[in-house]
Amino acid sequence: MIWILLKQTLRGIFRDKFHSFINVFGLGLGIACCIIGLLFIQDEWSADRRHANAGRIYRYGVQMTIGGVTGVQTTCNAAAGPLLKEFIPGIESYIRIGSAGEILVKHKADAFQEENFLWADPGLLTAFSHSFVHGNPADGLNRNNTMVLTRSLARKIFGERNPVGQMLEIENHGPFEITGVIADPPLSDHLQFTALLSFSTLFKGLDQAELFQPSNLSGDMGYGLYFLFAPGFTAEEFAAQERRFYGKYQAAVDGIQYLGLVEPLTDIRLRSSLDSGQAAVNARFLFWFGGIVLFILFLACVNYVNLTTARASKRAKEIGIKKVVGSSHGALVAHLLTESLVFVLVALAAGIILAQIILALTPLNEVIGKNLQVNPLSNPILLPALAAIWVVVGVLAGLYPAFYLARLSPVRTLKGKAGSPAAGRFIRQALLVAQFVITIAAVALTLLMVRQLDYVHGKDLGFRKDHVVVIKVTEAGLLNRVDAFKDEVRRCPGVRAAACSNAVPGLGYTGFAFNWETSSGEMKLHAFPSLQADSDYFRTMDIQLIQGRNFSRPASRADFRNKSLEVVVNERLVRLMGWQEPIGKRFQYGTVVGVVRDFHFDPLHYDIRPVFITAPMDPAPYVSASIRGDRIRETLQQLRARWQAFAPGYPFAYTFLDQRIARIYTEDEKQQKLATLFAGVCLLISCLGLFALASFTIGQRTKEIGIRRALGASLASVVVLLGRRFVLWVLLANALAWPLTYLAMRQWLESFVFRTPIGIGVFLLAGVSVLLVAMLTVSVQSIRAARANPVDSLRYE
Amino acid sequence: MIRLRDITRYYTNGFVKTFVLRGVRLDVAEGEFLTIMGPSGAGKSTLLHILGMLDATSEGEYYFHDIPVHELTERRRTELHQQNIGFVFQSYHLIDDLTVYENLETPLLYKKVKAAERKSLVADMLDRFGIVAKKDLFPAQLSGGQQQLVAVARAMIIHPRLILADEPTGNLNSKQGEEIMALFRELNRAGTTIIQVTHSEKNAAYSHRIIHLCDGWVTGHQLAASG
Repeated sequence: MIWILLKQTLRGIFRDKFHSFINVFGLGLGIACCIIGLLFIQDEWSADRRHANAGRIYRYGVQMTIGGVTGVQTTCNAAAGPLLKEFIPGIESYIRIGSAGEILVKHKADAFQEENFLWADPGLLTAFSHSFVHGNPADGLNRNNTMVLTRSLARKIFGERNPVGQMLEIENHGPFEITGVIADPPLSDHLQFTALLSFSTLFKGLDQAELFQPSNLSGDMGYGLYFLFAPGFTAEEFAAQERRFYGKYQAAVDGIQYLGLVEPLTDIRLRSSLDSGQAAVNARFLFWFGGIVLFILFLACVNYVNLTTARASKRAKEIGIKKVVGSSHGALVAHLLTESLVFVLVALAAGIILAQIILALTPLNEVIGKNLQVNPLSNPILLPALAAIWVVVGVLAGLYPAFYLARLSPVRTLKGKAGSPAAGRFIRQALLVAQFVITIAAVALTLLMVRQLDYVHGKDLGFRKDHVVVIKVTEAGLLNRVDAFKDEVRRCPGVRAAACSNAVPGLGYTGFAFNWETSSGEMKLHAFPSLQADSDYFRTMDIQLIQGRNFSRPASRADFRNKSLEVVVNERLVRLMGWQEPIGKRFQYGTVVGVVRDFHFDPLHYDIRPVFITAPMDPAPYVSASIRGDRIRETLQQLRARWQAFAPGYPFAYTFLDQRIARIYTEDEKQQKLATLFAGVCLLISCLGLFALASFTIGQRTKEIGIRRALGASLASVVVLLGRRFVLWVLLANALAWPLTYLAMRQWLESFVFRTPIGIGVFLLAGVSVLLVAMLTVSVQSIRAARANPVDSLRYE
Repeated sequence: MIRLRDITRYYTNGFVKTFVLRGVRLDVAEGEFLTIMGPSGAGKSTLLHILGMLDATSEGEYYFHDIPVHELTERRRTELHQQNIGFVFQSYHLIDDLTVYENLETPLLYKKVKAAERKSLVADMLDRFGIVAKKDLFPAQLSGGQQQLVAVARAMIIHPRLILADEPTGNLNSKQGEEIMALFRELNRAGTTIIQVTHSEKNAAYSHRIIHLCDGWVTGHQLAASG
């Protein structure tokens, strides 16, 4: 029985190649999207779970309450690890990490600028599971000046040779011996790096007992900390004991309230409590991605249902005969469902191939920052998932057509009366409208994303971002002479102004908790972000000084001791402190001398924060040069020459500030690209469905068209007649889509503090463009039908 | 074999009842060859469909071998129909996507006949109707007469006690028509009860008895020439 059904279904598919192709391709595309979505979700979900000890690894964070304001950070002092392990026996080992930042690596004559090096304790190789290409976990980072490379970096520097035992020269830290090579951490891993440097090197030659004291816990909180808990030890037990830890050491620290927190490694990606902002972004993206993928699958199923029921009249005769020769209603439903399952199986195969093609040939993987692959054999969830998709889609898409067709009366079908396209038309139309609601919403949302990103790019940030070149000086010897280099830069003819600072927009600030004079005159502890920049900075960046004056002199350590630092604050800080007259207000180490207009140092996802600016006490590594827009190339050459004279042998690495800022929004751009892609797929699938349905209904009306033409109807009037109904449906879809889309837009924009207004424009543009595409789809066939010779269509009657 | 008592069939369209059959009373004995004649719209096909259990009666009683068909559930009716009745239509109604062989096999599949037995039954039929050479062809590759032959073979394959034929020669030329009618006579002589609907006096002559329908009423009984 099953073989006959199979044979019959396949023959049916080949008989009507046009509709079958649309059906298989449309459904296949939907399934391909579903597979990709599934892989994506699997990848996100399994983030960090690949580590054998994943269940026992926890990330540490510190909650600090300063002046009534509570904040959580995931970095702490390097002493926290050893001290906590000593205090809490349930901690098996600790793993500290530190970012090495932008760093220069030299191998013989070659120099490489690297960004993703981590300082790490040996536990990173033993507690976490990294697979070794060369060397072994046990002696990875145990000694000072040892390092482990990832395979890609090893290949970049050494080619295919085994580099274990070789030496690399690391800027400011001397020669490092390579002790191992590991596979690159998968992109879903929370810790990303290209090489690991032994953590102990950071403190070599220093007295560890002196260094790792409770009194140091509140200083230099720049290191990440992970624990491997002993089996059975829980986060709750940790919390209880850790409270005693700070109870004991509270006296040793300042007036800040500390609370140590841990969260499972596996929660970091989607459910982090310590860094909830990023996790929320990840989770929301996952939700959004999963949702849209389901929508696409739904669209594809709708096409299947619509085409199958629309073709009912072609099938009706067969159904009637089967009833006459003895088939029961149940057997027919079973038969039609089987047919649907067979069909979906074909579409599934097409979907797998399409998914492969999409992942291999389109930049999708790059856009979503993943390396997804369709490997049904090696991926344990893929086969069951494919089977589930098969059954769910097969049954869901097949159910309505099956019952619809099996219900037809044999007497009427054999007379050719039942199964006319009028039957089930309401459901078909409703489904079609639903398709277009989704499509219009997808297009409108995409347009809004584009508009928001344009808005972000075009927004006045309160400082100059065009034609600003940023050069970072990292090597300690060079850094001491950075002011001299800045002066050299300033003397280039194409340079308007140049300044040094310890941060640039997008890097974020360092925060400090100091006592500030309140409007009532007392001193109170406040934690504010700070920026160190010299007196040229405001001019270089076009940041407007609105009150008081600029720094009168460079700052020094002595100013700190003598409490004679000059500080410039932004408007937001003035407002927060409630100062009427900001100039002359005191803070712990000096006096406010000026106020600048607010500027957006943080991404536009965040509001402007109160910031204070001091002149650098230590050499500031970022040299920003504002250059003239008309001679960029020459100016860059001049800068290069200056750099080579200043730092012979070091590569001249520079970035443009606007590009740096654009990079902050890569995540948003990624979402926008994906949205564009999905909106395109939605439109494609919906139009495929519309195309097939239109060809079908128009085919049904061939006789009517023939009669009208024979009676003298013009071509245009027939095209209008045929297209009118489809246009009405799309208009109805617009009416339904707009309010829904508006809500979705508001939701999306909420992640930005600074938003473009939602105008009627995006709706009109989306509605009209979808309508035009739909009209084009339908009119191709209407015109063909209307132009056919009426004699041909009437002859058969 | 068949007992119809006061069979009435109407369709309700809004408030208007359209009568197709009115108080039809008919007895058919086992082994009979009966012809139903009448003008277009007289209700011939509807009567045939009711006899074939494809359509329900609005009023009246239908006994098939003393089983009250009008009281049966859909499932029992399908079963009864599956075991006992074969249909032949004017336009053959073969399944286009299936070969001759598969078309013959279909009723057996619904009767859940085992594969080996199916094979021998289909082979028997192909042989008996002389269409072995055509078994792998699709209906569209056959002439009308050949298609009707396959349709009759398909009706016969379940060894029905009753064959219902709705204008079986209507789409055939006269030679093909005669062949099909001869085949019916042969089947009837072998014991199968046959009820046919036809306009053709010539075809009616093959049967034992003729009833005339007009506007849903039975207007006459007549013994046919061969009877």
